[in-house]
Amino acid sequence: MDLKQAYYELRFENAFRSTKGDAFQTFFEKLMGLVYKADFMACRPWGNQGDRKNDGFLKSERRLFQVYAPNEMEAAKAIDKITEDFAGAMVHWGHDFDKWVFAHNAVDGLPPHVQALILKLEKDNSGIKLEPWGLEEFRLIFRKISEDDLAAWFGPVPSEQTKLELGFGDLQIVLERVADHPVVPNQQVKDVPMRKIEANALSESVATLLKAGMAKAPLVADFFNRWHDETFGERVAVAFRNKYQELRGKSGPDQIFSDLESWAGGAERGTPKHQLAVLAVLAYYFDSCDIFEEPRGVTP
Amino acid sequence: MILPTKHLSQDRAILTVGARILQHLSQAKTISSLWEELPRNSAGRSDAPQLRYDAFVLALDLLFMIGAIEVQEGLLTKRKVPV
Repeated sequence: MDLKQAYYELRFENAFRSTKGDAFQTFFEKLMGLVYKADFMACRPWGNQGDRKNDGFLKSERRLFQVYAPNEMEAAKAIDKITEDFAGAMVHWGHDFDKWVFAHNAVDGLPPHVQALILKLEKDNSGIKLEPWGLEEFRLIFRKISEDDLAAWFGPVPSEQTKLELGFGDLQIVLERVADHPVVPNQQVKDVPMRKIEANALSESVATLLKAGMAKAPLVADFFNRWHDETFGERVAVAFRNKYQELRGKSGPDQIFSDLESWAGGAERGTPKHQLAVLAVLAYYFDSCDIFEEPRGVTP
Repeated sequence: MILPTKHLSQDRAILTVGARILQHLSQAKTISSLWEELPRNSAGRSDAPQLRYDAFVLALDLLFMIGAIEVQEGLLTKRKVPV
């Protein structure tokens, strides 16, 4: 996986995981619209007629979509939703589709009762194929988006050329920003190196981003070594560690990585050079074990 | 910052600066003359950051606290350790 793909896939996955409800439907429509253009017809509720159980229709594939992305997936509510929406779709659009997609964002999978219902409905409705679509199905769709559309959606990506152009000043700005965060005094920073991405269940996308940052991570060490305040590197390390501890347990490893990236780089998306400077800092502290967990069996 | 850490190189640790100070205290000196004589950069590292005066003072404090130096009539000397 190259840097560009890793960068965009991580952003896609984070957006997929973090958007719920109406926001997820908007996300879904944007994704499908970018990939399929006019072939995909989004369907918005129309007055008191609602959407007639149609959240989008892929004309060339005769595929009808129903989107469901609650904050928490509950089996009983999901079963009611599928039963009602599928029946409604058959009434309003039964002659137009052969495939009915239950698009959800339950990244941990659907409850067994929901799966059983989908199989039953498919069995009871000959000629109609029912498909639950989650993260992996949409990831395949996402990979079809053109580079121009990706850049328009998620911003420019750091490139190999950017890596060559990264200079000292970029890191300085990022580091100073990080250093401004308040730190807890007297907190110990672990001295154990942590090098294994697998031990933290980080994805290939994150591994690729860290690898990109790692190429320039020595600049970070060099920066600390030259900076007039010799305690700066330690203070930034403590700030990173505190932030990591705050995020740990609240979300998955990739989301933590993304949150750390946003925290270090600032709320607003920067230039590719700035983004890579942030990755360099993250890679430096990842390598020095200040963020994320060390693998089992590594002794200090 | 007394000892080197992952993010503080050995050259810049106060203990290392203290050791460099002791190397230049073969005879009694005033603080200002010691500061003048002390190389600002670590040996063999012309690209290393220059020693700051406050780090120099902190290193003197450390040496004094551990009993490695003493002050007599405004002059710094190494403290003789009984054999």
